[in-house]
Amino acid sequence: MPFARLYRKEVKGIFPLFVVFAAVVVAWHAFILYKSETWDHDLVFVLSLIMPFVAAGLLAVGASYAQLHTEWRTNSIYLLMALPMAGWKVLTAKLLSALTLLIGSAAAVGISFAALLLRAKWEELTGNAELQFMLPTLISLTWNVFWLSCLSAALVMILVQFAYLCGQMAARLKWLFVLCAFVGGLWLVIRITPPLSGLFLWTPDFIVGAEGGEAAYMQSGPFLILTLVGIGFMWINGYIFDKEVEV
Amino acid sequence: MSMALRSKRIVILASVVLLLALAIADIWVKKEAAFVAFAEQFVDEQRTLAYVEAHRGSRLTAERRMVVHGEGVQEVALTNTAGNIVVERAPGSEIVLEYEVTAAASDEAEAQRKLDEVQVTESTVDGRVTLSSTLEAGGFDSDRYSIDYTLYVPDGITPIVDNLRGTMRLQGIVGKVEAKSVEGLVDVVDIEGDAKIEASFGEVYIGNVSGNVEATLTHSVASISDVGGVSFASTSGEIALERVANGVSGDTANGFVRIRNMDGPVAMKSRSADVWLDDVRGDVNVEVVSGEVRFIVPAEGVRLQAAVVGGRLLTSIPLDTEYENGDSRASGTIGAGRWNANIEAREVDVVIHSKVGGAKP
Repeated sequence: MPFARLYRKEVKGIFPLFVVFAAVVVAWHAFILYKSETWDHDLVFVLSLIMPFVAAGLLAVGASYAQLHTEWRTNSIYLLMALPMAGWKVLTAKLLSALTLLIGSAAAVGISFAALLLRAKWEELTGNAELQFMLPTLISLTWNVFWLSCLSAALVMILVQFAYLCGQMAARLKWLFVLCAFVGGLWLVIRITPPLSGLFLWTPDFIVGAEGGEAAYMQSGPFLILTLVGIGFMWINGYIFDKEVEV
Repeated sequence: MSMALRSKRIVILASVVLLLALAIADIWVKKEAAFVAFAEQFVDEQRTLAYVEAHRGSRLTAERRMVVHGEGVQEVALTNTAGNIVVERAPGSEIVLEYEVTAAASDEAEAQRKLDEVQVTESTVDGRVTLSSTLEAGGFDSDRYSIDYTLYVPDGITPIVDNLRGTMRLQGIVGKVEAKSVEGLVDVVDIEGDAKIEASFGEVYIGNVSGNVEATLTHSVASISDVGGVSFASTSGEIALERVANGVSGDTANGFVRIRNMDGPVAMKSRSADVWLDDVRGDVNVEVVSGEVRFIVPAEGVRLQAAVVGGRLLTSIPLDTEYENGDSRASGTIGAGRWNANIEAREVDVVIHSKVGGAKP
């Protein structure tokens, strides 16, 4: 299938970047392990988990911009447009490749963290009664933060694609139109989601946390709206890619 | 390019510019309202609050007491991660622990069951009695349980207390005390003996301790007064020391240290911190890298040696000063020159004030 082939090609194209990222993360965790005896637990947590996850997200967003930029720079965009595939499929393949490697990077961060840092503190953690009690809550929180992050990253990547394609429609001052499109698109998402979420109040809530422990109920409506908005932008991107972009 | 295609592009690009203009206008007029509305839509606040209330339910309290014979005991250790600790002097030879347990649950029966689960046990190893509750050993939710301790300690037995996010008060003890606190408040007062305090992200007050004080502080604020001697190590904290009888030694990084009105020598190393010495009646040896040193000479006067590299030396007192490549080295006897004061500073401004004027090189 051409879509699967394109997806694999896109993954191969940005794979080296994420391999380097994973190697840097492992080295970073080794450094933190060396310093962890003298650092606060909170600092270790932020430096070893939060920072690499944020970096992985930023890398994925940057990669999604670079994917399109490389196509135009190397003139391989002609080949891409010659494919018997709708524009939205081409862009979806690129998006999915960046998301796949984002998930892979997150897994690499998690595995490196577990193998290097968690192992060193295992006895201390398993002996902590409060932590044991909160384990179901922590697992729920981790899973929900993970898929929420992926949804956010996907939305930002779609907006980046939208912004880049808008820039390509301009003969001059491309960067200005890229900026306008990104900021304007982001604002539009932020603006229209709350009123549209009101249409989905009937959808079920989901719990973040564990019953019996600390928990919060989240409305699924806003996330559905964000998904639909993302799909809407994907359609617009496909339209611009097929019909409007100057090659 | 066809006219239709060109006009479609113009429409799209104009729409994008219009979007940005609308975004700027919206933020200009409504400020952060759009972002607040976006952030608040995700959580079902009503349902979440209802859940929290439902699980708060009933709250029961029980007061309990246990007695431990003090023969052969040198130390008593107590840890609390769910409340406060008070340590006082016991009238007799027995160690007495009084504690108040509070348990919350969705109904009274469940709250009572949770209350009954909480027990305090003692174990003795090598002269140390360890008092611990089942809260420290088994799983519990800190929002549903709390336990406040009052420990009465006979003379000569060292209380070793450890507290997370609560308050601790040690008062009137005869003997040595040890206290460790994380994210809490510690008061150590009226102690006839030595005190060893360790605090992270805490607020500490140590007053009227006849012996020496050893303080290890991380991101904490401490006030220490009317004590014997002090040795401290502080990271990213603030310490104020006053009326110390037997000298101060310490190490600080990133923070502030003020030492005033005390007897005895001061020996300190400091990195990226401000140091303020006022009326120190003893020899002063201070090494400072980055920060500021403010030295107010005591009435008895000092023999001063100050070396400042990459900083300024500011004083109205006439000193014998040599300058080289922007660095300065000053020396002189101020007043009667009773004490020695050596200040070595790198990338530091050194400010020297004196009530007694005039200096002899």
